[in-house]
Amino acid sequence: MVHPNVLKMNGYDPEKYTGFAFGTGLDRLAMFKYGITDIRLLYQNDVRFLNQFDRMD
Amino acid sequence: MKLSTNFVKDYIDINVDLKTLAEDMTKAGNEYDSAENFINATNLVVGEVIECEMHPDSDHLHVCKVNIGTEILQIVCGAPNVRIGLKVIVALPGAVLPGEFKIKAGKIRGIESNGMLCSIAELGLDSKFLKPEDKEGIHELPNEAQVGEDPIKLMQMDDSVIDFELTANRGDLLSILGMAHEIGAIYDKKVKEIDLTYNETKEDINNNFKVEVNTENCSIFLAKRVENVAIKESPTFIRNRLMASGIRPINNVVDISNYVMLETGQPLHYYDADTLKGMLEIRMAQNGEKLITLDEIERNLSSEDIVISDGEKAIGLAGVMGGLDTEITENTKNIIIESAIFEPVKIRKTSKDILRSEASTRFEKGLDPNRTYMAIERSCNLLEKYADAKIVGGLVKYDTTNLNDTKIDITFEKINKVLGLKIEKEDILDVFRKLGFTYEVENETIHVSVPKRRIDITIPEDLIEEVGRIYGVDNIEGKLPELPLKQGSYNKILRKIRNKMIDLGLNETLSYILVNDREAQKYTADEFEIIPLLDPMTEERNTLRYSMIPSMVKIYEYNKARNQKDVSIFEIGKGFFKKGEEYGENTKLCALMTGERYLGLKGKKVDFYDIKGITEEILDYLGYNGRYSFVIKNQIPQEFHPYQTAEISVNNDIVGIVGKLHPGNVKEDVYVLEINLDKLLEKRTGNMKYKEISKFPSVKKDLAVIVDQDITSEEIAKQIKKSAGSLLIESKVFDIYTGTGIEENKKSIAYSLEFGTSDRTLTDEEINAILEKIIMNLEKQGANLRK
Repeated sequence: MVHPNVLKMNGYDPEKYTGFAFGTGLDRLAMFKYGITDIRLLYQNDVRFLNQFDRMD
Repeated sequence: MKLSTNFVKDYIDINVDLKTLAEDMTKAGNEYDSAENFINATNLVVGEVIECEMHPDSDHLHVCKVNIGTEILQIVCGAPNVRIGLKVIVALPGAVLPGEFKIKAGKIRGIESNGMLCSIAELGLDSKFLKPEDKEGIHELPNEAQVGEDPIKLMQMDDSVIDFELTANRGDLLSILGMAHEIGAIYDKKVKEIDLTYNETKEDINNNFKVEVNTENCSIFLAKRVENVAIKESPTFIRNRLMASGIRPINNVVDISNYVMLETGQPLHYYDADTLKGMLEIRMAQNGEKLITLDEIERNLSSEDIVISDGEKAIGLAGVMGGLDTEITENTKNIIIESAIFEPVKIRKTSKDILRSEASTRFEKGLDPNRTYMAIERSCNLLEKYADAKIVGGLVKYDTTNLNDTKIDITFEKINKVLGLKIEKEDILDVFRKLGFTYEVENETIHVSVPKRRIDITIPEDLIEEVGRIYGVDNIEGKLPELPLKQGSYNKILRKIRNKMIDLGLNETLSYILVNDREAQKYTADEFEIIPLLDPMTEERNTLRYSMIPSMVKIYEYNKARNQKDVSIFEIGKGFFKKGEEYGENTKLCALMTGERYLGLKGKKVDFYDIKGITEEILDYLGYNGRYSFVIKNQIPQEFHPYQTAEISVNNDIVGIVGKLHPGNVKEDVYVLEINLDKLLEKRTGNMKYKEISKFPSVKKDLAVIVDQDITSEEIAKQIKKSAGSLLIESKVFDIYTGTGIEENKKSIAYSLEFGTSDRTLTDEEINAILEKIIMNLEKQGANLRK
């Protein structure tokens, strides 16, 4: 749940609104799907890695 | 926090296995990392060496006969201290010692050996806990040990440890009592009273000791005097519990201070009273003041550090580490116990600069002042019992804290609304009862009294969280959201741009928004302030980026270092800035191209017109056709090539930059593009409209002009457009040439011009007249027709 102070800072009345924050971890799902063994590959931007995703699946 | 289950069982009766306890705590929001026996070894038994002969084939091995009660085993042992009559720890064949070390019956240099005699180290005790004798040979059990019994139990090491990874708000769980309350809430058990009883003399410490607090960064400071302590080794249970909690035992007095800290969460400091001058002063350090801490390192202090002084000089770094001069030694007789609370933010800062300790970790998270008193009393209780101490009466006390419960009002309705549940009123109240919070219900409102031990609970939402986690996250039914989730229109456009860039043959990257502060100022001529991080993890990523180009250049360099020369990449990301007091961020599109272009065009090097072409493709695709131009309005940033760089103007407003990186900095031909998408997309106009196709044929003419190198093709195109008027449909550059036949510092630009109108076919005369006008105006600008 989003802390009421965070809601307030963003211009929402915490008396009226509540917030729910979560992340799905898309990078981890991508690792499963493509069999990627090192999560850092997704952020290193090595063209030999990127070039492999030039097709539909 | 390493939780010794034996330790916590002093305060809570539980009868669940280790894994269940760890899992149940996790379900309540306290994740654990590992849950294991303190000594992770099986098949151990106490044995007595009844025969011990030298191995016939070795100068250090012994062949022993060991009585384990049920039988006599022959075991070969290499330890120097093995001898007849010694009670030893025997690992039987089939035993598994830490590190998956399996014991098997076998032969050692030809002699049968049915097991192993163990040292303490072989049982997996961390090397920092080993005494010198532990490293030299097998462990010597006391003579009273019974042959055949379990040595782990005998040594009181039959404990288990759960290592919790606590959230930052749960500083209260950095104590055995805090853990007991938490476990009590989960299993609905009462926490047992801690023994705080002791005898004290009729004297009053206040008669000859005082405390002066001269800083607002200390809210409570208590001092108690204890005399005639006998320094010796701690009782086994204290030693073992400290080790299970990751703390090295030293002597009974020092161990008790750590033991009480573990129990109550309140860090303590014990001073050798005879090294003090009848007082303690708490103040901020002076800049440049020096202090030698316990670890014999001289520390340079600043006015941000809280220190304890003996009235003359600093003798301790409050909340972080004591000083060397006043520490407890083997000769210490009299002790001053300090129990205090210091400002968490200051402690955090000091400990970050100097050292993070068990104490500072607890001070950083805030403490319950009730425990400050409790820790003193518990110290007295244990020092009397285990160090034969005489406790001097009275307490020196400075206290500005509020010891009372925190009062929070909340309604049943709000709890259920926020949690999205329908928990019965009784169940909600039951959660508060289990947590040890008292309450009164008045109509729909619950007045909750939260004990100070839960200093993390300050607002109604905190209580809601408690209800949610103790009621049980597992009891919340999984339901899909009842609202349709729609992609915003802005994100839709970004996705289209992204797909277009991919179609154009570029790879999408994903870079960090943090860059080095030097890079953050580069690749732009814009006026802005960079935004440095207050507490960067590394110097390489200490600033929010303004331009995305530094990130893209990093990627280019990364690939170049791996011999990947063909890089065509793009990314849609964020750039950040500060202007005056305002902070802002922009969505940007950034591309970088170098090496060979497109897979289908092997051998063709990327040039300026590729990246410019991509810019045009994107702008046309987004409907800006006819409203953008490439200009040089501001100064070109110095990281760019001065002549092969242009600003992108849409509706006469600069929205981006496209060009070549300065060859002085980058040896290869590297082209980049950056567009501020927020600025660009706000200029979008409505839907496209069909334009009538002329029934009359259009006429094409080519025109080549020779101009100075520093004149842009854009300038010429503008003049052509202006001179030609409404009959010009389109003008396109189709060739740029320098070299043989063209003077130095000049270039030839060839345009293909298309003329026409929707109501008739243009005559040659009309077109020639226009061409002449164009040529005349171009010549005025210094261009010459190339014949």
